[in-house]
Amino acid sequence: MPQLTMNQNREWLLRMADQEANCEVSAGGLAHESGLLNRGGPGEAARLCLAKFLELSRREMRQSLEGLAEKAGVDLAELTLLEHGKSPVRNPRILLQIASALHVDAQPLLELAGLLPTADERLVSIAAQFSARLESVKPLEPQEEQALGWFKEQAFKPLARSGRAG
Amino acid sequence: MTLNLTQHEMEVLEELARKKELNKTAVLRQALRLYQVVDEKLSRGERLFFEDDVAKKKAEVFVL
Amino acid sequence: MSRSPVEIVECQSRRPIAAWLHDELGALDLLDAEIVWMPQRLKAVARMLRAGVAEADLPQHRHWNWWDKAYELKMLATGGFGIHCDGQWQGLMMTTTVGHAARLKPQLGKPLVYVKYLESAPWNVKAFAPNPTYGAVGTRLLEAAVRLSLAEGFAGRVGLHALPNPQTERFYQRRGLIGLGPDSDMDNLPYYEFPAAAAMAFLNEGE
Repeated sequence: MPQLTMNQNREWLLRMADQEANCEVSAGGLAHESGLLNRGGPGEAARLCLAKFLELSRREMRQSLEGLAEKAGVDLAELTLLEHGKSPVRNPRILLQIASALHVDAQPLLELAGLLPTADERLVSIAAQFSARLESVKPLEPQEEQALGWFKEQAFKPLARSGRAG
Repeated sequence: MTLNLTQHEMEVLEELARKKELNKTAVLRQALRLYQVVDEKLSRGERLFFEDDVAKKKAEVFVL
Repeated sequence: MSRSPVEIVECQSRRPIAAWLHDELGALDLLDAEIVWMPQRLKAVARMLRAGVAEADLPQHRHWNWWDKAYELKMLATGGFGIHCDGQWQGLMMTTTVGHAARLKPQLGKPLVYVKYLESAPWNVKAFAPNPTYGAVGTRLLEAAVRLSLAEGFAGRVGLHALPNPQTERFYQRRGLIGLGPDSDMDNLPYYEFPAAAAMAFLNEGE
């Protein structure tokens, strides 16, 4: 953008300062939009990916939650919430400290948390692939099999009885 | 950069420039900015609608 | 990032002092500002609460966080402006050139610069600091928005939603912005628009 040449009249400037003195000059249209525009990358999916990465990295180092919290100098409760991926990360400081404790670059973690704009679009796809690889392919437990069978029977009634399509 | 626009596209560009009181470069710049914003929102799972308050209609707009 | 020299006012001495208007802020600039502004806002709020100020009377943007908005800077349409002086960000503004058009006739539908966010540092705002440090920061940022509008070919047109506060609204009215009342699409924030002629008059006043 070309350099802007700003007004140089000092009398005008002093008059403006006097008039502005008792006001909270501000504009806040984005306050409304901020609920629609998510910070950072793909939102919840990225947050869950971040959570899984932190958990697996900690376990790879054979660290407990308490151990890592102490090593990184972060609050245990905050670290626990992060690994569960339940709430958005508001404070970049905690991720910077955890990244340092895990000996990884903080930038991708900050991007996954939505605290920095995504510099590399591949991160979105990489995060999705990471999550997909972790999807369980274990056989169902007996209890899970029973519950699934019941749900199918109840929810997907035959067409003749319910009168509804599929 | 040289842009190759059809006759029709040029007419649309000129009409928009006239209507918005912008030069043609400014129109194209605005179009690019708008495309980026819409693309960004769609990639986040948001949806784009036109809403007609009078007719009480809402129509979804797809951007490829 | 480019910058232009600009003067703001030191309130105590009422002297103009040199500052810089930066016009391509990055995410880290917003973080740097928030690292300093947030604690100041919180201290001021605590002071006010202890002094018995009712919650409804606390400054309306006390919970803003510019770091939350850093992502917006990725868009071509977004402008990030800041006034820097005395080693600190004294005011910040974020604008966009898409998604909003003029609502006032005869410029209805014409493009304008929309001010998404504008805030002076807490120590410059009477609501947060009994003796504000620098003045005219908001005016300078509004001026920057008008100059951006001219540079874009939008004839100086600017639009914004003000925080619903009588003094804030009076400030914009005195600058020549026209109020169109509460906007139900924007949480009933009052919408103000600078028509081209009024915007030029505002600039010419200060030449």
